[in-house]
Amino acid sequence: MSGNGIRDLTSLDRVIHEPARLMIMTVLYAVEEADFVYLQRECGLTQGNLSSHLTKLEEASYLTITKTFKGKYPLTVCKLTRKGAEAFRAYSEKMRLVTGGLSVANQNK
Amino acid sequence: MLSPADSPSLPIRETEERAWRYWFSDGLATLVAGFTCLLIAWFLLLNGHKPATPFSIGVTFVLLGMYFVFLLRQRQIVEWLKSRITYPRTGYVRTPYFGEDESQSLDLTVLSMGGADATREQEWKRVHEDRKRRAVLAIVLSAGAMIALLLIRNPWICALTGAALSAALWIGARKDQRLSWIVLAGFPFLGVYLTIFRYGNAPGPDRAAYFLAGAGILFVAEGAVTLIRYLRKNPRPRENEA
Repeated sequence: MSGNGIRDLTSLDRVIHEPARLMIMTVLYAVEEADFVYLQRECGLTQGNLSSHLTKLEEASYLTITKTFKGKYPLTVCKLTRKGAEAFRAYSEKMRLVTGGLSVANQNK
Repeated sequence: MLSPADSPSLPIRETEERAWRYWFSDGLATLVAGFTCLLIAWFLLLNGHKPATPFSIGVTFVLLGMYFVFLLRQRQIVEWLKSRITYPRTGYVRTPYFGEDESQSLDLTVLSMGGADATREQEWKRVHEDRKRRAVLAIVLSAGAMIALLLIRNPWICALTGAALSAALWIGARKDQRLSWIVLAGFPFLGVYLTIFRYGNAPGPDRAAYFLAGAGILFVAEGAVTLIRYLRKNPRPRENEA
């Protein structure tokens, strides 16, 4: 954080801040790669919803989408890019500082 | 007072653990491990005390070849099965543990922390070291039990080996995958069964072969039950749904 207090919240990455995209980023950050079906099951999103969020994340260069095959089964494999991992880390750090402040405030009440 | 590091954070570790457990959720890895045990047992029994014939030598070579394929390509075999059974149903995921380059997974762990949050970094390291420590302990205990089974000619050695292997499996896998009673109770039961029927007095390789055959049957049973449960829970999607 740059130390501007509450104004730092405006610098949160809005691409990641959306809940569905945050779920997708969290899953992809924790694993090496995952396909569309796995992401859909983990995040509980519909096909259309997941597809549109993946496109947004791909446009931001936060992930790569590769169409491939495992045997005869076609896979749409999603993988976080280095830029995506760094953006997620920065976002996570900012959020932790914000919620850390919240915990302190709750204790003082 | 709570520090920022104590504040709620994103469930990265839980997600990673779920992905790791997902590998075992269909029972295929256990099934393949069971077949590997059966192959070794068959190989040991065939090479017992019978006179060698061209046929038995041929079978021995085939079994040995299959055993090495299973041993060296176990993960690829499981992946191949998963690509036909699991991925079309519940999807594909690769955890950092199965990276092409093992150092990559280590990099990912280090990179993911960015050095900014020491508490989380320590937590990740602790989890990985704990997993490695449990795996090493389980391997040492299993290897010790199998060597004792090979060398010590005593009726009770089978029962002791069964108990030791059950403990080793519990230590190695208790936090990562759910172990069913088939394996946990099965190994001591197998040991007691072999003791009662005096297999403990058989020559060393035979004792090991009988034990491995029993272990293979247990793993195959465990894998089959898990696979049936998985298939019932996750029917194959129709073409238009895929």
